[in-house]
Amino acid sequence: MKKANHSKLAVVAILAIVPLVLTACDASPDSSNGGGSQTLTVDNSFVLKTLDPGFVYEQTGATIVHVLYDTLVTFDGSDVSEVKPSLAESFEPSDDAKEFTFTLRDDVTFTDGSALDSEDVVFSLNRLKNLKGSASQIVSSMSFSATDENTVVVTSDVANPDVPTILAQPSTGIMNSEVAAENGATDADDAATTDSIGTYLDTNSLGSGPYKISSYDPSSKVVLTANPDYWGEAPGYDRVVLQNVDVQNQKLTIAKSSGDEVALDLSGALSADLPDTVQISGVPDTSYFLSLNQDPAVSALTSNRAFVNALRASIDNEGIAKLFGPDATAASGVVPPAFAGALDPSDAPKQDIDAAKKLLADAAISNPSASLVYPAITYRGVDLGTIVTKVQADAKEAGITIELTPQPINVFLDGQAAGQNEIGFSPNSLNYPVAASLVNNMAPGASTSLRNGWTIERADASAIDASEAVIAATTPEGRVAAMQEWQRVMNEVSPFIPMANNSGIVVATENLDGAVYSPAGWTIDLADISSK
Amino acid sequence: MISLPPVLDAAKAKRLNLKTSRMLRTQFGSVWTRPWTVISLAVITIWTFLAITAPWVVPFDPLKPVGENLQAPSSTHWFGTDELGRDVLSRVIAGSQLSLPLAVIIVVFSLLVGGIVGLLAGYLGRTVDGIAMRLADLVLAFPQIILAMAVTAAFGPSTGNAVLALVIVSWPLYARIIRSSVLSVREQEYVVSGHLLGSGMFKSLVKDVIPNSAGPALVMSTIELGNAILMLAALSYLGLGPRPPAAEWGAMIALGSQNLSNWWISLFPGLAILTIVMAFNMLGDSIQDYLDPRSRGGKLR
Amino acid sequence: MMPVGAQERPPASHPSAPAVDASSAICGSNQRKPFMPLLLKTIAKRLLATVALLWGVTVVTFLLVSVVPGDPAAANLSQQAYDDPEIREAFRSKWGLDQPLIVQYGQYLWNILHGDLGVSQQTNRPVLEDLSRYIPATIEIAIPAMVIAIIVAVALGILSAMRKGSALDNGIRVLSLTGLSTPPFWLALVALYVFFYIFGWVPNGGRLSNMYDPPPTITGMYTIDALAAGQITVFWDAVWHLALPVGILAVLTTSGLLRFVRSSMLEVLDSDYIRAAVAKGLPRRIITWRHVFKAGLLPVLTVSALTMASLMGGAVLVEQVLSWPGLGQYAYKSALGLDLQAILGVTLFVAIVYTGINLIVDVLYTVIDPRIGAK
Repeated sequence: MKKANHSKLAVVAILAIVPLVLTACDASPDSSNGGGSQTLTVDNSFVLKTLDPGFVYEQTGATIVHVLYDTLVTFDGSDVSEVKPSLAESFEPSDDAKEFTFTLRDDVTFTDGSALDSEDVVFSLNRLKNLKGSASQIVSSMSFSATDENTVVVTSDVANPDVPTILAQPSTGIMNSEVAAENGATDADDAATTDSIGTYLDTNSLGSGPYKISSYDPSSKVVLTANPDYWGEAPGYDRVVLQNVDVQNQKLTIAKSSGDEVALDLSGALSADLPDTVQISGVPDTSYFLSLNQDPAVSALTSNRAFVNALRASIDNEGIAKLFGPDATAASGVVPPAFAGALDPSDAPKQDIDAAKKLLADAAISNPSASLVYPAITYRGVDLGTIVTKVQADAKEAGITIELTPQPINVFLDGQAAGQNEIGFSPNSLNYPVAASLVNNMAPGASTSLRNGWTIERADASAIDASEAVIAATTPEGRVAAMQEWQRVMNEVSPFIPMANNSGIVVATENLDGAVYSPAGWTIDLADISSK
Repeated sequence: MISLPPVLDAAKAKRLNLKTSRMLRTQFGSVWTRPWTVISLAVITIWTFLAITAPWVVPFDPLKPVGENLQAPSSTHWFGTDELGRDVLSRVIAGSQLSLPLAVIIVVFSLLVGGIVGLLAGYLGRTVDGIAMRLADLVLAFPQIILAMAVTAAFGPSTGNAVLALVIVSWPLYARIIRSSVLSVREQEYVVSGHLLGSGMFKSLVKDVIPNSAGPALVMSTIELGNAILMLAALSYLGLGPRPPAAEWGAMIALGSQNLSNWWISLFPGLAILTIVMAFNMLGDSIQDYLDPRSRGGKLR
Repeated sequence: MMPVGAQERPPASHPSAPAVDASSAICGSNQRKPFMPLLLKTIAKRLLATVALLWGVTVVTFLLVSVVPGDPAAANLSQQAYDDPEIREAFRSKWGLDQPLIVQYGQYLWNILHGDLGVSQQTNRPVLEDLSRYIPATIEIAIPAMVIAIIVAVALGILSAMRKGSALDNGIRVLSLTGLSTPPFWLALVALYVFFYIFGWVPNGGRLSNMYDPPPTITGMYTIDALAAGQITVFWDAVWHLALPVGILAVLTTSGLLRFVRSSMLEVLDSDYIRAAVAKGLPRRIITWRHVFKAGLLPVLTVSALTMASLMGGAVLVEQVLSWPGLGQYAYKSALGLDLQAILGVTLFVAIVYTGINLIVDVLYTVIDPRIGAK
C-alpha cells in the first residue's frame, strides 16, 4: 500500500513540476519586442467592430483606420487647433464657408499601383454619406464633386467652417474605388441597402496609408505591417500589434514592459502610480454631465428649472474631478478644456449647499426625489457607479434624494433614446475635435436635447439665440467667442449639468518617441511612433 | 465490472462491520465535536452575528466617505479606504448584511420551487414527470453564469433580479433530489405492500419523503448557500448585482480589480467570501458525515 | 451546470454511486433483457430527448433575448444615426428585427437546419465562424485543465479516502474546500498579480506573444497547429501562454472533483463486498486497484465529463480576467450586448456538448452495468 501511495505521489509531483519547468524555459520573451523585426505593441481594451471606413465608429477601429487610410487633411500629434495637409496639398474655403476646394497631391498610389485621384475621393466620401451608418452623420449635410483629376469640391448645405476638421476624421478615409467597387462597394444613393463589400475590408486594406492589415481578430489581436509604397515618411515600426487587454492588466503590463509598448486605456486614477520610467501624455477631452428631463409628463420635478439649478449648486464638481484621477478638472461648461472655446476651468462652479436649499425653498419644492439612470460601465478608467454615488451623496446634503439605477449599456442606450429617464448620466466625447460640434447635439431641439425633452418650445429664447449665434459664426475666432457665450447661457438655462473633465491618456514605455494622446479622434497616431 | 458480494455468515459480517467501521471511522466520536464542525459553526455564527449587528458594530458609516481616498490599511482604518474614501472594514462587515440573507433567500426559494416540482414529478409521474425533468434538464443545459447574466441583463441589475436569476438556475437540483426520494419511497411502498396507489398513499408519501430527502436536501442546501454567495459575487463583479452604493462583496472586488496595486480593496472582500463559503461547505460536509449511516451506525436509511 | 469553482453536483441523471444496493439487485435480476436492442433503444430514446432539449433551448433563449428591454439598434447605432428614422429602419430590416417574433424564430430554425447560425452583431461575422475561432481556444485550456484535475483529484482523493481522518486527509480536504470556496475571478486576479506582476513567470494574457503570428489553422488550437506546422518556438510560446489560465482552471476544477472522488471512494471502501474482500484476506493493494479503483471511478467519470461540459461554457470569469479569447468571453460579451444570434449560437453549442456527453455517459453506464439501463 505504501509503495502504491509513493508512486502516486511521485506522479502528482512530476505533473506539478512540468508546468514550472516549461515556464522557466520560456521565461525570457515577454510581451514586447524580441530579436529581429521591429514590433510595436499596443495594449487596448478593444472596442472594435469593423475596419471599413464607411462604418467605423468605435475607438479602436478609428485608431487603426487612421493609419490604413489617408484623409484629405489631418492633425499632427495632439494639436487640434489647425488642420494640416495630407492627401490634399491645400484647400480654399469660400467666403460664405459653404464651399471648400481641395487640391490633391499627385504622387499617391494604392498598393495595387493605381494612382489616387479625385474619383477615389468622391467615391469614398459619397459612400460614407450614403451608407447611412453611425459614421455617416458628420458628412450628411455635404455633397462632393470632382472638377478635375486633382481637385475636389465639397459643398455644405449650411455655412460650416469646420468642414476641414470633419474631413480629417478616420471615417472619411479614401479608398481605392476601383478595387472596392469590384468587391461590392458602392457610393450610390441606395448604398445603405446595396453595398455588399461585407467584411472584405476587415482583412484587406484598400487605402494608401502607412500601414496595411496583416491579420484581424476583433476579439484579441490586430496586426498591421508597414506599407512599402507609402508616399509619406515611413513609420518608425515595421509591425504593429494591437492586442485586446483588460484595463487592470494593461497597468500591470506597461509597468513591467521592457519597451516598444503603449497602453491606451489607463485614464483616471489608473495612471496615478505608474513607475517613473513610463511617459504619460493626455489631453482633457472628455466631459461628464447629467441631463435632466424637461418633459413635465416624464417628471414634474426635473422639468422645474429651480430644481435643475438647485441640483447644479449641490454638486461638488471638484470632489468629482478628484475621482477621475490626478489630471481631471472640474467642468466650467460642457466643452472640455482641450478645445478652443472652452471656458476657463477656474470658473467652475463650487458646491454651494445653502444656495441649493434656498432655490428649493423659494420654489416650494419639498423632499425632492428623482431616479438617476446610468450605464454600469467603466469609462476611461472610471467606474461610473462611483461617480454617481458621489452625486447621490452630494445631493443628499441639500436634501435631494437620488435613486441610482444602473443599466447594462445596451439597455441604457435604448432607454436614453426613448427619452423617459428622469436624470441621465453619461460621458461625452466630441464627434470631431471642434467645440461647435456640441451645438449640433445639445442645442434646444437637437438630438441629445430631444432625448431629454428639451424641445424648442420648452427652451429659453436665450438658449436658442446663443445656439444660432454659434452656427452663424463663419470664422474660427467668431465661433470660439460664440461658444463661450453659449456655454454661459447653457449653465443657466439648460437641463445639462457638466461636472468634470478628464483626459484620454496614452502611456508609453521610455524608449518611444511620438507616442502622444491625440484628441483628434484616433487616440494615437501609430505611424508617428518610433523608438529613440 | 462490478462483481456481486460473496455470501457471508451473518455473525461474521456483523463483526467485520464493526471492525472495518472502526478502521474507517475518525478519531473523534461525534460529528459535532470534530474541529471541522466546530470551526465552521463558529465562523458562520460570527458572520451571522456581524450581519445582524452590523449597523452597531461598524466603526464607520459604510456608505459615507470618512477618510482620504485610497488609503492603505492603517490604525484608524484597519482595512484601508476605497476610491470614495469609505472605510473598507465597515463595508466588508456591511456586506454580510447583503450576502448572507440573500443567500438564505435564494436557497429557501430554490428549495420551495424545486421541492414542489420534484414532489409533483415524483408523485404524478409519467407526463408531469417527463415535462418537469425535461424542464430541469433545459435549465441545467445552460451555462449557469450565462443564464444568470441573461436574466439580470434582461430585467435590469438589482438585488431582486439577481435573486430571481439565481433561483431560476438553482431549482433543478432540489427538484431532482426530492423527486428521486419520492421515487424510492414509492418503489418501496409498491414492493412491500404490492397494491396500487390509493389516497392513503399520498399522506404516507409526504410523511416518508420528507425524512428521506431531508438529509440530502439539507446537505445540498448548505453547500448551495456557499454557491449562492459565490454566484451573487460573480454577478456583482459583472455589474449585474445589487446597485451602488450597496456594499456587496463582489462589487467591491470588481472595483478593487481596477487597480490591483490598491490591493486592500479587493483582498478583504475576497477573504470574507472565502471564509464564509468555506464554513458553509465544511458544515455541509459535517452534516453529510452525520447522516451517513456507515459512520454512525445507521440512523437514516 | 457547474460554474467552475463551485461544488460538484450529483450528475444530472445518474445514480451517484455504482448501484450495489438491494433494490436494484432485486429489480435487476428480474428484468435482465437481451443486451444490444436495449442499448440501441436507450440511445434512440436519448437522441430524441436530446433533440427536444435543444429545441427547447432555442425557444427559451430566443424568448429571453426578445424580452430584454434593449433595442439592438440603439446599442449599435450612434445617437444621430438612431434618431434618423431611415437609418434606424435600415438597421432593423438588415437584422430582421422588424419581423414578428414567430417569423424571426422560424427564420432562425430554418437557417440552423441549413448550417447557418446567423451573423453576430458585435463581430459582424457569421456566428459559425466566430464559434470556430473561440471554441478551440476554450478547448485548449479546458482539456489540459481537465486532465490535470482528474489526475490530481484521483490521486489525492484516493489518498484522502484511504487515510480518512488522518492529518493528511484533513489537509487535503482543507485545500479542496479552499479551492471550492474561492471566487474564481478573485483567484484569477490574485494569480495574475502574483505570477505575472510580481514574479514575471507567466505572460499577461493572450494566446501568443506579439512577435509570432498564429500558425496556419488546422484545429484552431495554437499548440497543436504549431506542432503540425513544425513551428517549435511558436509551440512553446503558446504553451507558456497556457500556463496561467490552465493552472487556475485546474485548481478550481480539482477542488470540486477531489471532494467527489473522496466521497465516492469512501462509499466504495465502506461497501459490503470490500469488507468481504478484507475478510477473505486479500492484500490491501489488490483491493485498492481492482475493486475500489474501478468501482469508485465510474461516477468520477460521469462527473468529469459533466465538468468538462461546464468548463466549455463556464470559464467566463477566468477568460475575462486573462483576456483569453474563448467561448466564455464571447458569451459574456454577447449576453451584455444582446447579440441574439451569438447568444443562441453559444447556448446551442454548450447544450449540444452537455447533452452529448450525457448521452455518452448514459451509454457507457448501460454497457458497464446493464441493470441500470434496465431500470
